Parts: sequence; C-alpha cells; structure tokens
Amino acid sequence: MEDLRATTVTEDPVQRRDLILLDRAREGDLAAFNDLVVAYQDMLFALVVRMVPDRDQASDAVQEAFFSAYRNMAGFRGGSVKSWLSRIAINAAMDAQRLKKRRPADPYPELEDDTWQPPADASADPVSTAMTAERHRALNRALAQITNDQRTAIVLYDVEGYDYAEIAELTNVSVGTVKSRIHRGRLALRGLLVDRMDLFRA
Amino acid sequence: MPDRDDLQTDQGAGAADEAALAIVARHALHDEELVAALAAGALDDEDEADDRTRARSLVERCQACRAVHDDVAAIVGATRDSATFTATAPRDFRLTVEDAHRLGGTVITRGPLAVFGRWLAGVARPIGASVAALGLVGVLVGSAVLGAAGVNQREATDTGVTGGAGSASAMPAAAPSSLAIGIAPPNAPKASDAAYVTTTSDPEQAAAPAALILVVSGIAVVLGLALFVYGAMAGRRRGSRAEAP
Repeated sequence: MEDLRATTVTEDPVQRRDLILLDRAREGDLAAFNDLVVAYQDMLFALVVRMVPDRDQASDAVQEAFFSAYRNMAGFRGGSVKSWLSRIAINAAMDAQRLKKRRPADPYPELEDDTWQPPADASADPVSTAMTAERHRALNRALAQITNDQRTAIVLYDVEGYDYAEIAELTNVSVGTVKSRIHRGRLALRGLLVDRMDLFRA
Repeated sequence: MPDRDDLQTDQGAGAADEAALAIVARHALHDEELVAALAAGALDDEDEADDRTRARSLVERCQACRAVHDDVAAIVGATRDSATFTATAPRDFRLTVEDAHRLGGTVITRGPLAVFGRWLAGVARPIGASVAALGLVGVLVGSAVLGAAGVNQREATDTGVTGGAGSASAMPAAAPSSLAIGIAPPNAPKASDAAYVTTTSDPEQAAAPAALILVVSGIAVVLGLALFVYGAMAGRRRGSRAEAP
C-alpha cells in the first residue's frame, strides 16, 4: 500500500497527524478514521451550513461527506487531508442544494443563533462583540436569501479563501461565471441589507 | 394665491427632484457589477487596468455608484470577518462498524485480533491454494478407494461370500498389494475359489475410511478455496490502494 507519509513530505504536525490517521484508516482502522471525523466535523459543518443554511440538511450533507470520504479513501492523492475533506463536503453541500432546489416551496428556516460562536477576543468590549454578532446574524440571514450559486461562490471566495479558478473547477463553470456570481451576489446582499447598512459601516 | 416665496420653494424642490432623477437615470446606465468588483479589490490585476479606471471614474462622478462601492466594501469586509466565527456540529458524525461495512470497508479493530487478521490476509492465498490442492488429491484418492471397494463388494455379493475380520489372516503372503483394494491379478484364482476371495479385505471395511477421506478432503477443498478467495480479495484491495494515483 502507498505510504502517504512517504509521498507527502510535510512539516506541519497537524497535516502529518492527518496523514498517519488516514494511512491507518486505509488499512481498515475505523477508529483512526473516526479520529479524523472528530478533528474536522465542526469545521466541515461550519462550511456546509454556510452553503446550505438549514441545520438538518447541513448535518445530513456533512454525514454524507464523511461516508463519501470513507468510501473513497483509496483515491486520496496525498497533500492536505483537510482540503480533501473540504472538497468532498463542498460537493455534498452542492448536492444538498440541488435537492433543495427541487422543493422551492420550502424556504430555508432562519438559522438558530446558537449555531455560531464569535471569535474569542478577550480585549473586545461587550458593545463591539454584540455588534459583531448582530452583523453576523444579519449577514447570514441575507446570505440565506440569495441564490445557491451566488451564495456558494461568495462563501467559497470570501469565507473559505478559494480562488476563482478553484471555485470554477469545484462548481463546473467558467471563471467568468464565478466572478459574475460573486459580484451579483454582493449586490443582491446589499439590496437585502440596505436597511441594516449602519451595522456594517460602523 | 401663492406668494413669491412659496413659488420659489416649489421651484427649488422641483429642481432638486429633477436633479435626483437625473442622477438616478444616469446611474441606471452605470455598471454596478464593475463598481462592486472595485469595492472588493477584484480589479487589481494589470490586465484589468481599463476596468479599474472605468470603475473609479464611476465612483468619482456618480453619487449612487459611490454608495454602492461603500456598501459593498463594508459587506465584503463583514463576510470575510465571518470566517472567524465557528460552529459546533449538532451531532456526532463518527462512523459505526455497520456504516463501515455498508460502505464496503474492511474494518480491522485494534489488538491481537487485528494482528491475526492482517497476518491471515497475507498468508491466506498460498495456504488456501495448498489446502485446496491437498483436498482435491484426497477427494481423488477417496473416490478411487470407494469405487474399488464398491467393485469388490459387488464381486463378493456375486460369489455369495462376505468374508470376515478373522479371515484376513488367511491371505497368502505373496499376494500383491493391489489385492488390498480387491483388484485381482489376471492369474489369481477364480472367484469360485472361496479361500482366495476371503483373503481380500472386507469391502465394507475398506469403504468406511475411504468415505471419511472423501468427506475430510471435500471440507479441505471448500476451506482452501474460501481461504484463497479471501486472500485474493484482500490482496486486490491492497493492490487497488497502492495503484491509486
């Protein structure tokens, strides 16, 4: 069997740990795979719930992503396990969006506030923290109302940090289409947040 | 009748409305996407210099474009900041052993069993092949013995002699070994010679161990083949992982 540690030289201890766990999982060690699940389930849920703003559907998509990762462990090409899992989760989220598209009558429920925790910043004053949280809530509500394509492009570009070419590859469209979706999506967000812009300009 | 001040106020308000309308009308022709791109810093490449200049010009000349620019810049900033927010998964996504089996994985648990399982997967194919081959030989031998015993029994039935355990001592010392399975040589006495016939082994006695050999060999063939297939599948799984790009 291919030894991932040998083919992927990495100094990053987290990445090295991931490769060791994946190697063991590929040998049939389910506990090693579950260690990876525990390490990344929160991160993947945050990614997916931004793209699919429904906790239940996002949960199902994350579970499906881990199933898919387990099924396709043999196809892992080395590199970052985190990126590999993220790509699988993005695909699962887009599948969930397509499923949702077939039932347009059901709007996304409003995201529960306890889904998100603000960054821990001891120096931030309570007013600033409250305003940041409120801005985040308003933004999530607006994101849930724009189209799936626009939301996916914005989340992948602005939140997850993928570049245009990567998003184009992930979503099977041209780079020009990705750019257009992002710009139009931002304008759509502005239209939805026009009454709350004081929060954003503060 | 309105006085002069009222008329001047109305005219002033009308002019303001017209100016606002003119701004809106002009803005309707402006490319908001371009302005949004500028606000997000998406026009920084060299090959986008023309677009950047056009967008800056719009922001400088058009009040509405300026508002779009400022709002989009604020929204982009907030969106990027939202990456620092974390979420907690609402449930545990760990896979169960049943999930793993359903997904086609071979689950090997940790501990002595895991070591044995890995060892078995490695040696199952050669051991399985050997056991199956031995079993096959056993089946052939068992069948031959059983068949010969059957022939012998038919001959004995034809002559009406059943023989007994005690009669074996009467077997001639020079009798060829083939007689042990009841095959008479061409120059052997005829079946009518009761003394000779009784010197051959008892057909029923010969059939019992032959049947046992047959059963044991059959089991060995099945087990050997099962081991071989298990080893081959384990090897293929390992091979496909190793060949994965």
